[in-house]
Amino acid sequence: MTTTPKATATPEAATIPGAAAALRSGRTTSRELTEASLAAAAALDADLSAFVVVDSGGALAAADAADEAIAAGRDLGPLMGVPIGIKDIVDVVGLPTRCGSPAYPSTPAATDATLVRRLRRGGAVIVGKTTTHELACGVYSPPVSNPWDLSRVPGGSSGGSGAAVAAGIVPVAVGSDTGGSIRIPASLCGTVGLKATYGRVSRAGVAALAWSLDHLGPLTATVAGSAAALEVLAGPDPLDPSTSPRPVPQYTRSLDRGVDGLKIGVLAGPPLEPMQPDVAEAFASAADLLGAHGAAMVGVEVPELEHGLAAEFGIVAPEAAAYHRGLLRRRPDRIDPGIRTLLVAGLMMEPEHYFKALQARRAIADALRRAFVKNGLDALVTPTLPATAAPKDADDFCFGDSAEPVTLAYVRTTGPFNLSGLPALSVPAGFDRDGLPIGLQIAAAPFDEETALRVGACFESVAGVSSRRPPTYSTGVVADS
Amino acid sequence: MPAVSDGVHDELVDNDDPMELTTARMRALGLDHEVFDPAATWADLAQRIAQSASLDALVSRSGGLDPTAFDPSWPSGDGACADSPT
Repeated sequence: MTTTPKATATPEAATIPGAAAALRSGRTTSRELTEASLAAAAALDADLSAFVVVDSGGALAAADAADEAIAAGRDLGPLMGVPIGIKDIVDVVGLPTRCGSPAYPSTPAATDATLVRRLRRGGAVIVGKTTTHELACGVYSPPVSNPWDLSRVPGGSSGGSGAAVAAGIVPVAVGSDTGGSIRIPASLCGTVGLKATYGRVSRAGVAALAWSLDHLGPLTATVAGSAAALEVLAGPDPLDPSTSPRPVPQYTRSLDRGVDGLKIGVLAGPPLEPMQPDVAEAFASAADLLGAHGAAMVGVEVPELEHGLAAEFGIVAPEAAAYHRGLLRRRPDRIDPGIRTLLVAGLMMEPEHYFKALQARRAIADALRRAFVKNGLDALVTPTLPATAAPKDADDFCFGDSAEPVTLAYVRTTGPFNLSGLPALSVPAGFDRDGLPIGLQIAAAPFDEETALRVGACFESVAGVSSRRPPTYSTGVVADS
Repeated sequence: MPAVSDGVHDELVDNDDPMELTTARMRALGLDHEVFDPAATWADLAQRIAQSASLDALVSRSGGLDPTAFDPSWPSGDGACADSPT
């Protein structure tokens, strides 16, 4: 099914700043936005499968509470009254956390994850739980379809969040990212995706894939939305000792400062090759565009990144196996065979292999630090992914004469920023010859999300690709009056 | 393929047969449900061990870094890189 955007809809409501402005000016209400979101989910989700559960009653009650707050003159923050989707590895009280797996029970969560509590405190309206690749361990997220081409993958593991935002069902959805699981669907679905610094967003109440690599963050329609969402999501949490006590900046304050005076590294060499030609061309154009708007662009190579995949998977398998060991013994027949094999291998790996991967991780993180410091970089850009959305049944990409598994291709450019913990943002950077989105990844120094967002906002405003919508898209039913 | 060392069950299995070793280790770990596939596990494990071996040069070149000392909070200050040690 293809949905044509409605002529009477309010496109601004598809973004967080737009929705926030419409709510505060009285042009719409949270109930109207939420009803539009629920209607869009009802209209589109048979094709997209972006949601595993839609909580209409809970959403409308939250919307009414937000409307009451607005009417009383209270301002709970940038997500007040805004519909949001939550990846189904995050606990939301009253809803089951199934982690995309039949091995998980359907018992409703008894408490909210910390990030959900923050969202509720900020007046956000939780519309439902978005589909994840099983156990957040994969890049396909079946049965989710990519709104740009329903025969293609949305990426993963936060594939439902990417599809829901790209299709205009919600302006923001929460994802998790262990090797790229926010940025991969963001790139493939043409949305913005932000993996903040490790320790910036609490992981309490969220099912783990690999404790030391897991990050949480938003997928949004715009960079401004990403900044606004992070302001709500970020902050210290006694329930997650890995969170940083650093104060949370007002991320939206620097968005319009442009890139003049910034020094931006343009990554070359490993792990970028091989790459689809259209991606290479879009990446070169993006770097040129940032340079043309005042940034000093400098080529950077980090040879250590060649080992990123080996380090990434050397950590994921044993940590995931340790986390899921009980499930693996109790319900192995309900776990996908490929993931089951990974978990078993993770249990059987010698400690030597795990600690070697951790040592490699530190070497890679140190190499990235040296690249930033030696070159005086404010940010580092890469293509988010070396390829666009794969067909759902594809196991491999063909790069010229060589083949590479889809999973490895998608993780090799994103994983280094999980290993290093650096903040990394994916923004839409163009389209390939089939009309599929291409992403630009912008990394920055630890806890400097502000600079990544600033570069992303500048690029978004000058590149002019973010306004293009997929064929499967709904702008809802909010009257523009 | 490199054999997996097994401190517990070395005496019980033929170490020249990695499949048998894998099966024994899986059994020792309580992974004896019929859906477990020792052949697939061994193939996956061997690939991971080879992948781990590919890290030897990097780790050696880096001087055997303490993996627990990684501090993602570099640099100090508000995101500026200038004051960061290498």
